[in-house]
Order: sequence, then structure tokens, then C-alpha cells
Amino acid sequence: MSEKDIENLTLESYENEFSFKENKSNLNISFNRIAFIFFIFLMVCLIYSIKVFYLGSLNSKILQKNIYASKTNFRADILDRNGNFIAKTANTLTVGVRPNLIIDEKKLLINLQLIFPDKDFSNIKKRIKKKKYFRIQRELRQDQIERLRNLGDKSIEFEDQITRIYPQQNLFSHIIGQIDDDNNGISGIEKFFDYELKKRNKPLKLTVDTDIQFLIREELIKAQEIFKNIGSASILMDVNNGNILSMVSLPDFDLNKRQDIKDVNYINRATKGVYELGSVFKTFTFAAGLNEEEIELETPFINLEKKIYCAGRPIGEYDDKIPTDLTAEEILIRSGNIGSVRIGQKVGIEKFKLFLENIGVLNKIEFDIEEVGQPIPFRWGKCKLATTSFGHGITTTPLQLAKGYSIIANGGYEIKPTLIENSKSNIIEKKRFLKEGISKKVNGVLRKIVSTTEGTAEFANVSGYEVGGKTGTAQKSINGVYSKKKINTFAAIFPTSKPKYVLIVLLDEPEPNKEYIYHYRDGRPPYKGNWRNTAGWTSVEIAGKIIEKIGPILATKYIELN
Amino acid sequence: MKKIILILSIFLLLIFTTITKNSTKDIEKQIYNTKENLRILEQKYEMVLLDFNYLSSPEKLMEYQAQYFENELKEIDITNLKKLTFIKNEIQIKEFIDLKNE
Repeated sequence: MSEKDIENLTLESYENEFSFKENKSNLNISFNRIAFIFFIFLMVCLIYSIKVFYLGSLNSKILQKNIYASKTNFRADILDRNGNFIAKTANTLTVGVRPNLIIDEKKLLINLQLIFPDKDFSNIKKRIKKKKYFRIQRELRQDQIERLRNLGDKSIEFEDQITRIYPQQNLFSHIIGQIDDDNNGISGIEKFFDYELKKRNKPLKLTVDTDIQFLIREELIKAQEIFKNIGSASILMDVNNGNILSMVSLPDFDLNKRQDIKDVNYINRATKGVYELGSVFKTFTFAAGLNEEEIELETPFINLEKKIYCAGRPIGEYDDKIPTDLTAEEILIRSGNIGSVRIGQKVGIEKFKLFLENIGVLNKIEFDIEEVGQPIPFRWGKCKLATTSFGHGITTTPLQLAKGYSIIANGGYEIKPTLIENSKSNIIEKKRFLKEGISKKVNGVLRKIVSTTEGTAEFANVSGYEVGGKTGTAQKSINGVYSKKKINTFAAIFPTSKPKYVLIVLLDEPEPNKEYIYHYRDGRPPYKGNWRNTAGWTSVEIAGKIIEKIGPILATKYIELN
Repeated sequence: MKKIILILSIFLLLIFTTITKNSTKDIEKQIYNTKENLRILEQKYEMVLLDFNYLSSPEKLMEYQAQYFENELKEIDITNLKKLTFIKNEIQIKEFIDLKNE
């Protein structure tokens, strides 16, 4: 072999030796797959372990609650503050027919007719022909169940259902509200606490008192007979914690009848009705003046006009006999419009607006039922300040009025009106909106409105209860135009030396009754033939009667024993 | 000897465990039965209370008053009520409603 041949040979052998070959190992591929599967398996195990630890750490009570939540045929009872049933759930059976399982239609119909003689069987025959399941009777009696079971017919089916029983009938209709056939709340507490009622295993306890609610409702019904008002509302609230002892709105309805009510006259006037309440607002103007140190009780207002104009519109006094020189205190006692305007002007727009916001009458209130009205918003200006000072051109709900009066009476501490006993919302850090001593001064003046002949509320001067309060007579606005119809309101607090309760009585469109005999509480002879359609002659009279009736219960049952 | 003691103790433990388990089962049964009875009684109590609430509702009571006791029940003036307080074997009588602020 020549030298050249050897070189070529070496080169060839070099090329062969270093040619690239992919080294594929079956074992290596299998290992990657196993690692991947193992990783997935590990992740699944990890997720399940975390879930197991989470469930293990859960409180048994929470689990118990969830078990209740899964119950479909359950709804907690509702009690009043004394443990009386307001709403009670009872388990009942409903019977239905599955037409495709009927063997002898004639025999079945005869038997059903014997058990339910009042049913319309022509309709049942039609429904059988449709071949679809249908219900015949709800809330079966025990004897009906036994007779139906004894028939032994496969086509007859029973369904477990719940029935809500309201032993107090109309008494709490606006508070409690209604439920539909599928156990869903559609109004009132039943709607607002729908989820709670379905899952909680204890009854829901309210702050209302059945006896007091009954007595107030009775008096409002009597008022309707005397003054022919189309509706009325009343709220009795503890000024120190916002617990509502009674809330009535008329007309009301029987909860057991499950009516489909569409008439607007059936609204809850205590919470949903938004009204211009008139002179009851003067107390807020007066309190704001004292709180901002713009006035004192004896601050004189000299030469008060009988009529003033704002943007071309007149503002006058209701009572022409009102003197032109009055002190701040006398302005509130005699319910002077012009005097209240002057106090409002001293306070100023910003401070007065903030004051009304603080006591909760300007904005929508948070409450325990959904039927809550929204006060109509407006733009503040000089004229608006003048009219709002004496309670015109400003709207709110009776519930918010009760809240406002409670804050004024309790020393200026914030409260949240509630219907639920031991409500968490009640345990709030109490803000104070009034300076020291203001409350006492206002309460004293409110007492004089009731106890003196210059005041406008002498019919509420029930002996022993130190009633104080302010009347409000306002023209009703219908479609934005003032009508001759009235909204007469009385906001009372008692006892004024240490206020405990606020009572609001509102009569919607009352009329004076010339046949009604008024009995003065200071011993003067009775009076008949009243023609005045003011709160002092309507709402105050009713409030007096209410306090007379509920006073002994409040004084004995809710007495603080030291 | 050791073996006998070990076997005996295991045997005894087995017997004790069986007896305890059996008695626990009995107690559990009793608890279950009591709970069921309690549930039924509670249901009955609630229904009776419902009846009571209905029959003693203010509306019914007023009806009964008008029907049976119209002339027998008299309203008491709360200002005539007195409050009795016992202080060291002595009775202090105060007005129930203080009319000083009137």
C-alpha cells in the first residue's frame, strides 16, 4: 500500500468513527413518564390533604349550621321580646295526583269527592286529562291523610311542605311581611332575614311587644273611626338603644290569608312613607341653634314679621295671634314659623345641613326591613334654609323622625333603630352629636309644649308620665302640588326628666270631627264641635290615649330595678 | 409464667373492652332515645305554646273580658300605686309614679 492510500484510508476510518448517532434509551423515557405521573399524583394527594386539614380545623357549629342550610323545608320561628310566637313554622302534607298512574279514574274521583266535598271536580277531571302531576289540597288534616292513605292508590302522592302560622294575624303584618309558596321571603323581616331564617336553628327574637303593639293598633283604629283618616302610623322606640317596641301602620292585612296586595294605601307608612312633616322639624332647628351656641332659651326675637317673602313666595304664621316679640323658647312652644326661620338663618346652611345629617333625617336609613323610604333630595339655598327651618320643603320617614327625636332626647348620642333583639348593630361606639346640657334644655321646652296652655299639645299631658313633644301639621303634597289634605304628626318623648321612649303618631288625611267630645286633662269642661284640622286636635289626642293605655305596661314591665 | 400473665392480661383486656363497648352502646341507645323523646316533647311544647299564644293574645283576652268580665274588671289608676322597698327589716313606701316633675 502506497503512502497516499494509507492517508485516504485513515481519513475514511476517522469519518466513520465520529459520525453522530442519537443515543435513545427506552429506560430513560419510562423514568420521565413515571416522574410526571408521580408528580400529578403527589399534587392530587396534596390538594386532598389540604382539604382534609381544612375540614378538620372547622368548628363543629359551622358544620351544623351548613347541615341546617341544606334543609329545604325549614324556616326558623319569630318571637316577640317576651317569647310569644309571632310566626311559627308547622310541617304539613300536600296531596297531589299523578295521572299516568291512575288505574280506575271513576273510582278515584268518587273517593276524592268523598274526602274533599268542597272541591271543584270538573277542574280536576280536566287536569287529569293533561297527564301531568298536579296538587289537589294543601295543609291536609290528620283524618284526611288517613283516609287518603287507606285508598292505597298509587297515583296519590304526598309532599312534605311547611306552613307559616301567624297567631297574631294582622298585628305585625308590616313588620313580618310574607313568604311565597317556595319558602322564600317576599317582604318585611321574612325577606330581609330570609337566609338567616332558613339556616339558623334558634328562633329570631324581635324587640317588639305584642301587648303594646295591640293597644297602639287599637287606638289607631279608633282614630280612623273618629277622624276618617285614610291611614296612620305609629312608632314606639327606646331612645337609648333604638329598640323598637311597637311599629304600626294602617291599613294592615292578615298574614295568614296570603293576599297579593297591590294597593299603595297598604304601604308601611312608618318606614316607607316619605312625608313633609311640618313643624315637628322646628325642634331640630331649635336644638341646632342651641348646639351651635347661636341662641339660648331666653334669646329675644323682637319685631318678628307676620309674613316674609322668599323668591316671591310668602311665608306666614299659622296662628295670627302669635306675638311679634318672642324668646327662642317661646318660638318653639308657640310653633312660630317666622321665629324658626330666624333661628335657622342664625345657624346657617352648612351647620344646619350637617346637624340634620347627623341626626339621620336627611339620608336613607339602614334598617331591618327592605321597605324603607328615601327622603327626597333637594338643593340647599337661602329659601330652602328658611322653609326647612319650620319643616316645609323637606321630607323624611316617621322612622327617621323617631331616630332624630331619640338623639335629641338621649343627650345627643347616636342610635340605630332596630327590630332585632341583641342586634350586633346596636353595639356601636356611640358618637355624640350634641354638646353637654343641650338635650336637657330641649326636653324641658318640649315638656312645656304639652304642659302649658300656650303649647299645642295639651291633650297629651297624661298625668304621671311627664310627656313632652312637638306637633306638626303639614299640607300633603300630591304629584308635587300642595293639596288641602293634611299630614298631622305628633312626636312625643317621655318621661322628659329622664327620657326613655319616643312615640310618633302620624295620621294621613284626617278630617275634623265636630261630634267628637274632647276631655281636657286640666279639669276644664269637655269640648265638642272642633273644626280645626291640626295635629294638636287630632294626633295629640290619639297619642294621649295611647300613652294612657301603654304607660302602665311601660312603667311596670320595663321598670329599672336598682 | 410470664407468658401466662401476658396472655391473661390480653384476655382480660379483651373482655373489658367488649363489656365497655357493649355498655357504651346501650348508653348511646338510651341517649338517642331520650333525644328523640325530647324532640317530640319540644314539638308538642311548641304547638301548645302556639295555642297558648293564640288563646292568650291581646285580641282574644279583650274578647273574653267583654264576654265574661265586663263589669268585674276595674282599671286601676297607676298614680295610686305604691312602691315598697325593704331596708333592714323596715318597709319604705314610695309613690310608684313620681308626680314631682308634673
